[in-house]
Amino acid sequence: MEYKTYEYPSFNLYTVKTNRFKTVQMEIIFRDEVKCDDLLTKTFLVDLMTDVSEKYKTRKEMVKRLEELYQASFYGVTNKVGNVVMTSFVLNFLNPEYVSEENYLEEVIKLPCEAIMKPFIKAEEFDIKNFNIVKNRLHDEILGINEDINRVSLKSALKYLDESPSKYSVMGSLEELDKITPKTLASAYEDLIANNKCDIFVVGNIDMDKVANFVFKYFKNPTIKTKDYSLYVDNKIPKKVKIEKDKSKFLETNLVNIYGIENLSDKEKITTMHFYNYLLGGGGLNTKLYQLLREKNSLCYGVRSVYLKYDNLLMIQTSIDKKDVKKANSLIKLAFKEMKLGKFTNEELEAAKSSFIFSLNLALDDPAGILNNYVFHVISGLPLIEDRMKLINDVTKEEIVALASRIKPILEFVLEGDTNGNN
Amino acid sequence: METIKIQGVNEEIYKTISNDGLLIYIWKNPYAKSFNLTLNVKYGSIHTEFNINNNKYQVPDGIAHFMEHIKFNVKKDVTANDLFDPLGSDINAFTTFKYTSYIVNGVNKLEDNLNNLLDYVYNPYFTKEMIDKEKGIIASEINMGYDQPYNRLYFEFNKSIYKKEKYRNLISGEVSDIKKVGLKDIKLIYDTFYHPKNMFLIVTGDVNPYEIEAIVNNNLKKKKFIAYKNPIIEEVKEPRGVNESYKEINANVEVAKAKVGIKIPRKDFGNIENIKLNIILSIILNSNFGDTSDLKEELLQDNLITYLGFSRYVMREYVILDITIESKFIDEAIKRIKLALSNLSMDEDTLKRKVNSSIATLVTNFDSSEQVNTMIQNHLIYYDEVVPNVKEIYEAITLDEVKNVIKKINTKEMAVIKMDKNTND
Repeated sequence: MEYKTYEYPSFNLYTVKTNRFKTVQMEIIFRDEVKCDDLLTKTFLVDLMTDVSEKYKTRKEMVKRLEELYQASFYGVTNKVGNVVMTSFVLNFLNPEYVSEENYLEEVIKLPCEAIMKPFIKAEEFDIKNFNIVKNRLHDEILGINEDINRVSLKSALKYLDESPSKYSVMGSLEELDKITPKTLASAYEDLIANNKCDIFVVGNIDMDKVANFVFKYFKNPTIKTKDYSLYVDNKIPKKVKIEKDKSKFLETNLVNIYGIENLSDKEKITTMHFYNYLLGGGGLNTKLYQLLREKNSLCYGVRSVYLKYDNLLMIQTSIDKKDVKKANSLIKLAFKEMKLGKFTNEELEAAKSSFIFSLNLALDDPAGILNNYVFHVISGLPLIEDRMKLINDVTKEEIVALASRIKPILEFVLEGDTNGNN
Repeated sequence: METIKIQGVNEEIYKTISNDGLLIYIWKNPYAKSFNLTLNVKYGSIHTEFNINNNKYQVPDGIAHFMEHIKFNVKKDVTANDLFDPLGSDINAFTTFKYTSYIVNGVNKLEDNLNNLLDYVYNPYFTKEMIDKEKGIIASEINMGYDQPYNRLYFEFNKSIYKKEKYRNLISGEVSDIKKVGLKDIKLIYDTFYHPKNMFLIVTGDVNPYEIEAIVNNNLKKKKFIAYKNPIIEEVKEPRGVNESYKEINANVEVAKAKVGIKIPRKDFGNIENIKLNIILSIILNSNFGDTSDLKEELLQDNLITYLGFSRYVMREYVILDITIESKFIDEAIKRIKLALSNLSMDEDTLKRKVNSSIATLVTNFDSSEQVNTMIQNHLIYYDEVVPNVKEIYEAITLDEVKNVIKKINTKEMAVIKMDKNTND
């Protein structure tokens, strides 16, 4: 793979040339510090700006154009990564070598550039018709969260955390949605262009110099921004564990346990903590949690732990029967205890390392995987996939055990189900 | 070894058959870092009644999925995970109405991975204890399904559209069904259907097809297979008409949802081959209900929907088309969808654009070993063979053909399922 950086006054273009794919992935990413009250605005903005533009005034026209461009896809994503919100415009298109039109590459790159530079704004307001379509969609998406037990449970659990960017959601609330108007959204657009740091990433088997020329021609982002933010959130660990319970109408009961992690070094963040999490509950079907809760006690269909690297948090979630809450929590505690005591074999650690190498290789099989890793290499210094594979072998069992005692419980949350069949 | 040349994408799929009758399909992708292995059994949730030598057998609903679960046990205190974890590979399995698939994704030690896959799937290790233990886990999975509105909507729709077909039943079975599963049933299913002659292996990735063939033959020759029983699945004679034309259900939903579907006898579409009919129906639905349709634009602008999806199923006796919507004004939205189903249309420009964009997707599908593996599975299950000329089929579709299919889409047999909030909320 050939990595190259093109520096422009107001953004950088990072390219990865590889001959492994028939598709090309391009992302235009704006980064900003997380602020509770503008996450939903950014979600709204990127949705609307990928639906319509000054040139393609309805979603129908935009999709027709994408179909003409050989089923290119263009969509927006808002991601909260620790302390930073990333507003991404994603374009995926066919490698021009499969297309007979000579100007295909230029035409396809022009589309997202124009959508960002020339949105459908008139008299400092977004077009009301399209605004309402996206607003209605977001309204139902926010309501729809209440239909998914895992999302309801997580949302309910997070509200009990102390004030921190980790508890905010990119979907926001209906009250926040109601406050957004075509005018405030147009202001948010001005702010995105003027104040968010922007970079562009492209992965594929194409002439990157040509890509750079077309980007320069059509992406006229005028403002130079230098301010950048650290991704890491410093979540404090309270002295007393919070124990909270809400009720729901779901059949199953859902547990969310959240843990804070103290003083991780860069190496621990990049490798050691991944292995701890893998062995505890993030890996395959042989993890401590899976074995204890599902295999040995038949309490659940699945259980997983997730390491939220940039939030310095570890989270466990599972669905069980209401009567099994106490038992499940004591088994979760047992899993942590066994990790502290180093009750895992070197073979299990080696399996975790092999699995990590597998997942890194899997990322190399997908243009989006390569691009995503490269983004974090650029913005947070994450070693490239090829380099991370080499770091893995150094991790020892002792290092994992040493880390285990720095993981402290913050919250035990139960979303209690209604087994009376009110579902 | 036979090679199947996939037209228009410059790709080849290798096909061979092992000495024991296992069909093997291989796609070689020199750029892939990972490989995908799937060992597939032509046994799914609808195959609960069958004949062997004129003896009739009936097994509980959900048994195919139950088998998929307990198949992971290799011997006492050893599961398939113990075989694959040291290799760093990822394993999984799923059951559909028509087949069961055992999956391995890995990057290293292809031979060990393939041998392990064959070893654990072709391993008749079943005990009463493991069956009893699994019942609690599967019950939890079934309850999770009831907590998912779209999952419920889908199966309730099937109950309305079909009168007798086994598609009416949950793939997992109900909790009451799995309580009935016993050791004898599991052994019967294994002995009858888990035979190389009723299965196929698909390998995709940077692999050598001849090496794959040799590994499989070496592995299987060490195993003893009983003679294939040639089971004959009892086909359900599905009567004409829908079971229930309108039904309302309550669920834990915030936004009302509905499915509007029609059931058309397959024979109404004449001799057109299944794959072509499938493609044409997909284009028709996409053009009339997709993002580029006038209807979707109007419904969005009138705030009558916030979601619209569609699907089609070409089955042995019937063709089913269904539209799924989410709406705050669900009754009006249903009315508009019903009307649109009766007024389907197509023009030359739209057809050309849809055909071209679909052909582009055929090319990009070959970016992913996993996607190609899934594509081969689908072709084998639905068309009995890998179809090499899909591009040609697309290119040959004419406006007249599409209009003829539209003429046959009769909305007489329609089923509507409306899902709204629990009334006691």
